[in-house]
Amino acid sequence: MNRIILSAIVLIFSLLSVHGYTLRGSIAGAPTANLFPLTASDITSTKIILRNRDTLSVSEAYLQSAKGDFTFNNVVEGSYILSLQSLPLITPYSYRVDIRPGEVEVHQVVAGHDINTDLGPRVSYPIVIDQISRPKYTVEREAFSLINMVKSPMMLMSLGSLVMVFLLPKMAANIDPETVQQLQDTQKSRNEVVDKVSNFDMASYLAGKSQ
Amino acid sequence: MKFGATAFLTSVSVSLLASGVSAVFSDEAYVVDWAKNPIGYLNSQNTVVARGSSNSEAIIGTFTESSVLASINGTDGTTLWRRWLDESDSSSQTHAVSSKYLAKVNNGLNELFVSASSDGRVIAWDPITGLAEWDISLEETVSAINGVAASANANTDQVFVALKSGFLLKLDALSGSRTWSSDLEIDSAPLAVIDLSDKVGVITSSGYLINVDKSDGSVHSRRKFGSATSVFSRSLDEVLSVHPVQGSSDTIVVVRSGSNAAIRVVDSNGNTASEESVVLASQSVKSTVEVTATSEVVNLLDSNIIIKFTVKGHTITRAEADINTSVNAVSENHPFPILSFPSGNTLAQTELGNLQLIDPLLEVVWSRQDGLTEITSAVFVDFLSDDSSLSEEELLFEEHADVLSAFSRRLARHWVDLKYFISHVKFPSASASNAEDDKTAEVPLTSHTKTESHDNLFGFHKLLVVANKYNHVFALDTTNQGAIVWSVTLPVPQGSEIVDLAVNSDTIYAVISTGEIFTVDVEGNVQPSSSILLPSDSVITEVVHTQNAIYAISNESVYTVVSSDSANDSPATESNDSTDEAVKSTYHTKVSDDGTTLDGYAVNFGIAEPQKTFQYTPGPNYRIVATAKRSPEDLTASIGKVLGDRSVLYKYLHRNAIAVAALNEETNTLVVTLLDSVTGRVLHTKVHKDEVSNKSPINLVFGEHWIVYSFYSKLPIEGQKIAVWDLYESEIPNQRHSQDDEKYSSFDSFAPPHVKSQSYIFNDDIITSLSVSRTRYGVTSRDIILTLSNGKVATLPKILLDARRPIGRNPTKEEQEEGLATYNSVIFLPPMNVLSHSRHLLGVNHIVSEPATLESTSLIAGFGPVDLFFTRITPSRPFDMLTVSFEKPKLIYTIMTILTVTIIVRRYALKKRIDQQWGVGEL
Repeated sequence: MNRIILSAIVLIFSLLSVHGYTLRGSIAGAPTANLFPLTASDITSTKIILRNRDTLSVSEAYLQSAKGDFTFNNVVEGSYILSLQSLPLITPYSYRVDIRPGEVEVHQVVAGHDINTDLGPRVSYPIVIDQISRPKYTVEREAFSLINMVKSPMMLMSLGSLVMVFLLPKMAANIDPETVQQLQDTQKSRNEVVDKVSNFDMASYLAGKSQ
Repeated sequence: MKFGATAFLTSVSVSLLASGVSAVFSDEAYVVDWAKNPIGYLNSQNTVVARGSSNSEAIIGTFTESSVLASINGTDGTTLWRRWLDESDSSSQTHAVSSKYLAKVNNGLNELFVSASSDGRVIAWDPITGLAEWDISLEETVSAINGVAASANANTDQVFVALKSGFLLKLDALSGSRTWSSDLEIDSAPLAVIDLSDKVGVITSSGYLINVDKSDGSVHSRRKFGSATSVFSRSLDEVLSVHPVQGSSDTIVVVRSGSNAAIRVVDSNGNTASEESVVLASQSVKSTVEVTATSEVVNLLDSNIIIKFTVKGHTITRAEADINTSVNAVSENHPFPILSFPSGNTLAQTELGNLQLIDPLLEVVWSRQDGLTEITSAVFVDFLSDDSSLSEEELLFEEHADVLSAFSRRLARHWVDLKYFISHVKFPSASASNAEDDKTAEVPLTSHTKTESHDNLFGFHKLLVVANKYNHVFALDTTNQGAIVWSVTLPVPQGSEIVDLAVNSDTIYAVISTGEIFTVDVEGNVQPSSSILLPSDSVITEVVHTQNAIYAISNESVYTVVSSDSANDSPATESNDSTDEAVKSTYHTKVSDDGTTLDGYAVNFGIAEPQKTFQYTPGPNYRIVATAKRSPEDLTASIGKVLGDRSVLYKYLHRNAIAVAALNEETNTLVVTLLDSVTGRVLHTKVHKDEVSNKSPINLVFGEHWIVYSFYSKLPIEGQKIAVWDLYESEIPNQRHSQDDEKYSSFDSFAPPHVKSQSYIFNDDIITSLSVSRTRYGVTSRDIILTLSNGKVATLPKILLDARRPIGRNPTKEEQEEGLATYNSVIFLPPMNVLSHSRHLLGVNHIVSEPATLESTSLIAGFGPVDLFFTRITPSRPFDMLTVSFEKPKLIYTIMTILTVTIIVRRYALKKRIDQQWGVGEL
């Protein structure tokens, strides 16, 4: 049931002729990201940006609790882009927020998609900035490791064949000469059959010639 | 077959170059790069102390002059958190001065810092975590704020906010919700809110004190603050300090009215007890109140001189002993007190910004450098290197002299150099820091940051000299985590500032807006060099560097040579490289003050008055938002771009090109134009009718044969765009219009460029500046350095933005060889491209790049209103340097083992061969 979810908007007090809505939201991590508890550096280097799509003016909100809640005050009706601006936290999504009297409509927007024509799924209000993960800004230098080198499939294959090269002649030497002879004979007879099949001369056969 | 192998190798190497992003390795992060994260200069009015909820340690909250809100651990001076609450208009890219207010409140559960800025945003911050406990927008200009006890003996506080419109608001400290608002019916702005037990007092700029009931906001009394003759009765400019007297209900109020400051003790009814005033030398005055055992001491900081007053009961006395001004000048040894703790400790800040906690015995408990802020210009300077006598002059001499004299001179030089060799052998590490004299003691060298000798050899060890708006010049060691080597304050006249720094050989020139020029040598010795005579209303606005000279340009476009190379008698003209010899003028372009035109000027030396040569007007209602020229020091290693099929696209390397971006704020159209900077001839233009935002910065950078610019627009897809123009001589490979060695003039008829352009959506935060990396010979590929609004300094390889990326199809084999990938409209910034990695930088919006001695490496410094950042990058990977992980000992051990085995085996092999020849062992 895709009924449009009407969300409650709290009309805050009018202050000195300023009317506006309060927009609430929070952040949520990707399943594998250990987002919580937020560290002091997470909190102080994270902002939530609300850009009015008409005037392109920007307002900022800060995290207000350890659960990652945020609030925008005095938001007027209109269409907005809500995005996370942070160093330690990233998300692939931004959100299109349309505020109309009595209703707020929030859509996920995947990066690079047109915010007018290519909207993502509609999400519920209060807004949850989802799939937040912690990027790794530094790269581990690949150190030389003998085990890693040996573990590579190419290395394993070549090692295997190297072992065979040394091992097989030794094995052959240890086998009873009669058994070897027997094996060679069997191989020979098998080869003959194979030869016959592969060199089968249809014309001779049809002509009734025997080999 | 052979060709196939070569092609494969080429493609591998090209793709290596293409992917040669200089990722930040975890073993280099925080070792190679460094940052300065100051908070700036503190003001006692906006500095408060809270006690943490978990322990009894004091936490200092401050809202500094650089708009940084910070929480500092009072025990050890570490920053708990900081935020940059800047309100400057990003479109004009100027740093606006905004008013800041900070108070401390106790909401019954916790103590909070409440900040208010002039845009009406009032936020309560947790001192430890930095969480915004509550956040309200008043959308009115705040004039004063105070956290005041709810009643005389209450533990909880209330927040009183005075608005410029004359309203006083009482906010609940727990939620920020408004309890009442009261119209004070005043015609002047409120300046301060003071606590008067059951009432609050509001001091207005017209010298009134209005007593308001705390519980209902009703106005109790309204009267002139001072007697008819006192300073307080005049129109007040600012309230410098409000300080409740310990152990009584009195309050000390310090105000400024024009060039007078006055101190007043006010009792709980708002009645004046006593008053003392002083005539000030400057208008920028600070004030603090220190608490001693028996009295309160009021400090006034007037142009670096501290004037002290002692308040005892109701009497104020000016401390007579303090008239000797030389003792009381704020300096390294005499910091200015900001606030005093009940324990007797004092928080103080020196002239150069060292923030110190000083105990009653005047011992420094902790000290931190917070003055490296508001940096306006930065230059790299080489350390004095006297461990080799090889210089450019020597090389030139050897090149031109006859063999015999050149050889004898070299022999003599090497003989002199022998002493350095001996000292190098004796003390291998001593040569590293020969230029760092005893001044280095300012910051001790730690073992892990010790400069290694190869840093000198590779050109990584330089001085980063920065100047800030407080007229301080700092020299930082690039290889030693930015240790301050020296710092000086330039004796700049009041009201003027350092326009820019410039370097010519070993001399740093600091050009002051009033026309003074100071020279600073690499050891930090300042000398007034010369002074440019300017008309009374004229100031220096710009400093231009050309290859051989530095010019200062005034707002009336008058040129003055700051410094020029003595080797070259005629200073370089802007059209030097490719201009007719007959042209002896220097050409310069300047954006007009209102930003509507780009004006070209010609300066003929000997004639003072510059001649206007052209005026470029982008169109009606257009404002020029950015201009970019190629750096005169940028070198080109190859004049063409070799394509996969071995044909060549010739680069358009016109030295006199200037790119101009202009925005029409009515139609939101962006026009980017490429002009000849001498004649004003339009070489190419492009119009973006894309609803371009004027609220986001528009950045422009000119690289070797390309320009890159960024802007935010609504069309065709809403978001931030990054666009590129690649300039070629012709669209057809192997076709060129310019000739080798043939000089041409901007006045000649030369061909315009063939422009290949492309746009991308940049899927990250707003770009605040664009810059290009520079290497010694220009062989290394160039990276675009970006600064982002989320506090990152990042790099984008230019090839990623190549306009020739194939669209809608896979690249051909030839294109793959060039490193071109299929065009993707969105550019994601990979985390490993973030040069500043996990550092959260505040307000870095300028980048300077300097080549190292090694071709592969470029030194990058980022600066701006708050932070300073330095790192090294290798856009094409460190191809001329062994990696850190290269294990030299292991290699030597292996070679030695192989040698040993060879020697041992050789004996056996020899024996075996002899045995074979003798038939030993054979039956």
